[in-house]
Amino acid sequence: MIKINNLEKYFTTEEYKTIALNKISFEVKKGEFVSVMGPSGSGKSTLLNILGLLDDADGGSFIFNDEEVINYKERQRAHLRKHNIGFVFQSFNLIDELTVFENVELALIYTGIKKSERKEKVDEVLERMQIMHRRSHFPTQLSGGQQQRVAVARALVNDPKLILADEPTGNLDSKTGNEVMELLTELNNQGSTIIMVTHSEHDAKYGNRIIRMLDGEKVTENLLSNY
Amino acid sequence: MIKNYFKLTWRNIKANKVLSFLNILGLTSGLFCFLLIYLWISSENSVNKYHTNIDDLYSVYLTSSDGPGFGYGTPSLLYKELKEKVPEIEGVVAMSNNNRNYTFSNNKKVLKQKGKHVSEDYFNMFSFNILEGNASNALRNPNDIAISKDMAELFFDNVKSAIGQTLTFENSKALKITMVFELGSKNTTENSDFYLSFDSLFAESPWMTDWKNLGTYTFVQLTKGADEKQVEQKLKTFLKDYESVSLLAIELQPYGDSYLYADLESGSGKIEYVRLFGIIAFLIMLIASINFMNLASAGSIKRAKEIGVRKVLGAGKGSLVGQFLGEAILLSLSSLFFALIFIALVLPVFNQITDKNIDLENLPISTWIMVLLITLFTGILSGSYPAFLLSSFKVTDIFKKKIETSSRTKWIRKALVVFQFTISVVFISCMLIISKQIDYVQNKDIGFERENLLAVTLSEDLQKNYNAFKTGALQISGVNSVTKTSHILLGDYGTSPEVIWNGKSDDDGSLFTGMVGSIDFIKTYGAKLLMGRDLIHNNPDNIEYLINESAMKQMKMENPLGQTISFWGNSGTIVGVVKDFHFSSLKESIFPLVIRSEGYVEFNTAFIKYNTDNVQQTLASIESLHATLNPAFPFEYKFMDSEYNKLYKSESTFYKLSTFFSILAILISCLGLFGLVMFTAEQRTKEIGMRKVVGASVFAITSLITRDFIKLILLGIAIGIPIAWYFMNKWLTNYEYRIDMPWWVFVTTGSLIISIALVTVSFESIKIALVNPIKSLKND
Repeated sequence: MIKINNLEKYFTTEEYKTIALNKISFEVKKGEFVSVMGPSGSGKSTLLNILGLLDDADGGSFIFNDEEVINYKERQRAHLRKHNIGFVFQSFNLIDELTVFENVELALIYTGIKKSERKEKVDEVLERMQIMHRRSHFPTQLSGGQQQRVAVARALVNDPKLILADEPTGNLDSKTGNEVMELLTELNNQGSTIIMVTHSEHDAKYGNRIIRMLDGEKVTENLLSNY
Repeated sequence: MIKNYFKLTWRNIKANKVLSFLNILGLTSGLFCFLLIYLWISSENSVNKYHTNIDDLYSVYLTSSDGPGFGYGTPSLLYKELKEKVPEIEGVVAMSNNNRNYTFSNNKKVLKQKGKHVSEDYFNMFSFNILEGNASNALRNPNDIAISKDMAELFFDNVKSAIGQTLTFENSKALKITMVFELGSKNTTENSDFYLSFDSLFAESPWMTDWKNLGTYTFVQLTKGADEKQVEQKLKTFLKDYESVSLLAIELQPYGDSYLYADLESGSGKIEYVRLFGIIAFLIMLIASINFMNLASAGSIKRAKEIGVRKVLGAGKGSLVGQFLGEAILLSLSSLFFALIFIALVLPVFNQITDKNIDLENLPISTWIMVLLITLFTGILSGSYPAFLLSSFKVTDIFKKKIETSSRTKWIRKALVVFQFTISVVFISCMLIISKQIDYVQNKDIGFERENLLAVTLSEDLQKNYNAFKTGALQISGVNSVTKTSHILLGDYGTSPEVIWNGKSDDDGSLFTGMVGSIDFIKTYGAKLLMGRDLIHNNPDNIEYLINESAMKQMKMENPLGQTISFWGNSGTIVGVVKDFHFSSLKESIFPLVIRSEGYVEFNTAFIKYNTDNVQQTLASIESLHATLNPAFPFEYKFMDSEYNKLYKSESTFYKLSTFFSILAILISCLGLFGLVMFTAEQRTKEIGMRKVVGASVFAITSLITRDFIKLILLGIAIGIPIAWYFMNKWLTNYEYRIDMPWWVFVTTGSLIISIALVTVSFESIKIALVNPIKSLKND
C-alpha cells in the first residue's frame, strides 16, 4: 500500500540545516499495523506528516496505492487525503466550537457527501465507537478517552484505507490509553491499515511490526509475533 | 457546508465574546460613518437634479475678459435677446435675485413669505407638481402670482379654494392667484413660497433696462441634441455688439452642477466638501477594516487548530478562504444591521446639522443596493487578509504551534496599527486647525462693527416714513445711530463695470461693487474713515460718494476727495475713503466698493446700532415704533453678527461633522489596539510568568507590553503630522485671511493620542501583569 524509498527531509534555518529524515525506506502492506518508535527528534512525526501528505519531502520516492505522490500539488494531496487517510492525534484536535456529531461530520462535508447520508454514516461510526450518547456534546464536555474516541470516529467515518495515529495515547491515562489501543487493534482486525507513532513500548506492541528510528534514520525493524 | 460555516461563525462569536464585540463594534462604527457620509454625498450629488429637463438646463454666467469677475448675475434683458437670437435655445428664464421676504395679506392674515420674479418659461423648463392652475400661462399678467401649497394653506382653507383669489402684496397691490404648486423634490435649493411675473418687476424697476446692471439670473434650456460646446462658443462673443457689456462673455454651466460648483472662478465649491467627506468616509472604513484584519489575524492562533483539522480532513485553500471571507461578510452584515439602527437614531440631528432631508424610508432602491454592496465590500476587504493568512498556515506548523513566529505577520500587523494611528493623527490635527480657522474668521476684526447691529427690513411704507422711523428710533434710549442701505453688508452682490471717473481709460473694464448708503453710514457701521467724512446729504442734486481703499487703488487716485465719479450714471463727489472692510466671506479678497448717497435703487434695509444695556427693551421699543409707522407689515429684523456667522455655515457644519468622525476614528483605532494588546499579552503569558517568577514588578511588566505599542503610535504620529500639515496648509490657502499654522495643534494631537493609547494599552497590560505567575505558566 505504501512504499517509500530513500525519503529525505531537511529543516533549514539561516544558520543550520537539520536532517530530519535521512534516506529512509520501508514498505507497509495493506492490513498491517505498524508502530514507529524513537526518541524525541528522531524524525518519526515528520515521517508521519509526509505519509499523511501534510508535509513535503525533499527527496526520495513515496508510492501510495501504486502511485508516485511525492510531487503532488496541494490540491491533489488534499484530494488524496480526504478520500484515503484518517488521522488520530495525541491532542485529539477536535474543534471546540463543534459538537461531537459535527466534528465527525466535518470529514464527510469535505468529501461532498449528501446530508442524509452523512447523518447515517456519522451515527453508525459513533455507535461503533460507543460514543453515541454524547453526540450533541461539545469536546470540552468530554473526558480525554471520550475525546479520543470521537477523534477515532472522525478518522474512520470516511472508511479510509490508511489510519495514521500520532501518539494517540499520549494525553490519556493508562486505562483509557489501553482502551484506545484496543480500539485501534480492533479496527486493524477489521482490515484497516494503521501506522502509529509512539513513545510507548507497551503501545507499540499492539502492532504487527515496529520500526525504530534515530536521528532521521531507520535503525531496526522488528516483526512482532502477533503478525 | 455553508450552514456549517454559519454555525461555526455564530459559535465563534459566542466563544470569543470580547473579540467579537470589538470586531462588531469597530465594523459597526465604520459602517455607520461610511453610510452616513454616503447618504449625505448622494443627497448632495442629487440636489436640483430632479428636473425632467435637467440634461438640457444650464445656468448662464458671465466672465470678464479683463480683470476679475465671474458671476451668475446677468443683464435683465439678456433672456429676451437669447431667446430671439439663438436658435439652439429652446427656453430661457430670467429670475430676479431678490429672493427675500415680502408681506402678503388677505382679510384674515398678514404674513411674510419668500419669493421672487420669474419669466414665463419657468414652469415649463423646471419641474414642479402643479396642483391647481396651468403652468404655461400662470404668470401671463403682471399681477398674477403662483403660490406654494404651504402658502395656499396658510391663507386659505384648501388649495382648491385659493385659485382665483387675491392677496395684497406689500400692502400696495392686489395679486391674483393663478397657480398652486409643490416643489418637485425636497432635495432642492429652491425655497420660494411664491413666484411673480418678471414683467411686473421690469415695469417697476427702470434700472433693469440698463444692460450694465447685472442683477438678474438667467437660465437656458437647449434644444434636444444641441451641441453644448458649439452653443457655448457662440455665446462667448454674443455680447460683443452690446456696447456697455461688450467685454463680458456668456458661459453656460449645467444647471445640475450649479449647486456643487458654484465657485465659478475656481470651478469648485461645495464639491470640495463632498470630496473631502468621501475621503474621510473611505479612511474611516479602512481603519475599521484594519481593525478587523488585525484582530482576526492576531486571534488566528485560537483558530489555528480548527484550520489544521480542516486541512487534514481535506479542506482546500479555496474553501478556507471562502469560509473566513464568509465569516467577515456575515459580521459586516450584522454590523450593517446595528449601523442602520444608529443611523436611524442620529439622522434627525444629522439632518439638522447638515440642512438635509435624508429619510431612510424613502431612499431609492439603488441606494439600498449600494449600501449592501458597500457592506459586502467591507466584509471582503476586512476578511481578505485574515482569510489568506489563516488559510496559508501549514498544518505541520499549526500542530507544532509554530505559526506565531512568522515575523512577516507581525510586521504587517504593526504597519496596520501605525497606519490607523497616522489617520487618527491627521483627522484630529485637521479638526483642531479647522476649528481655529473658523474661530478666527468668526472673531476677526472685519473692518466694521457687526456686534449690536440690527438690520431691519424697510417695507414700502417704512421707506416712505424712513425719516420718522429714524427720528423715533434715535429717541429710544438703547439706540445709538440709524442708517439705511440698499444691501445688507454681507454676502455676494452683483458687480458692475459702470463706474466712471476722470482719467478712466476706454478699455478699462474693472468691476466694482456698488451700493447705496445714507447719512450716518460710517457712524452706524463703525467702519473706519481713512480720509474725508461720513455721508451727510440725502439729496439727489448733491450726490456724495464713499469709496473703499481698494476702489481708490483701482481708480489710481492719490487724492480722491472732491473728485467726481459716477455710478450707473449718477455723478457725484467723493467725500470720504473708508478703510477696506469685509462685505463678503473672508475667502474672498476685498472688492473695490463705491457707496452712493442717493439714487433710484430702493433702500431695503435700515441698520440700527444699539448698546448692550437692556437689549430686550430696546428691541421691543423698535418693534412698537415699527408697528406704529408700518402697521400693515410684520416687524422683520436680523442680527448682523449671526448673519455674519452664516457665511461660514459650510465650514461650521464641516467642523461639527469632522469632530464627530475624528472621535469615532480614534475610538475605532483604540478598539483595535485594545484587541491587539489582549492577544499579545495572551501570546506572551509564559514570558510574563517567567519574568514574574524571577522578580519583575507589575510596573515592569506593564511597561514591557506598553513600550512596544507606544513605539508604533509614536511612529503613527511622526508620519501623520507632516501629512496633516501639508493638507491643512493647502486648505488654509482657500482663505484670503487665515491663521498661521498653529504648531501647538500637533503637540496637542500627539499628547492626546498617546494618552488615549496609554490608557487603552495599560488597562489590559496591568490586568495581565497582575495574574499569578503559576497560572500563566500552567496555562502554557
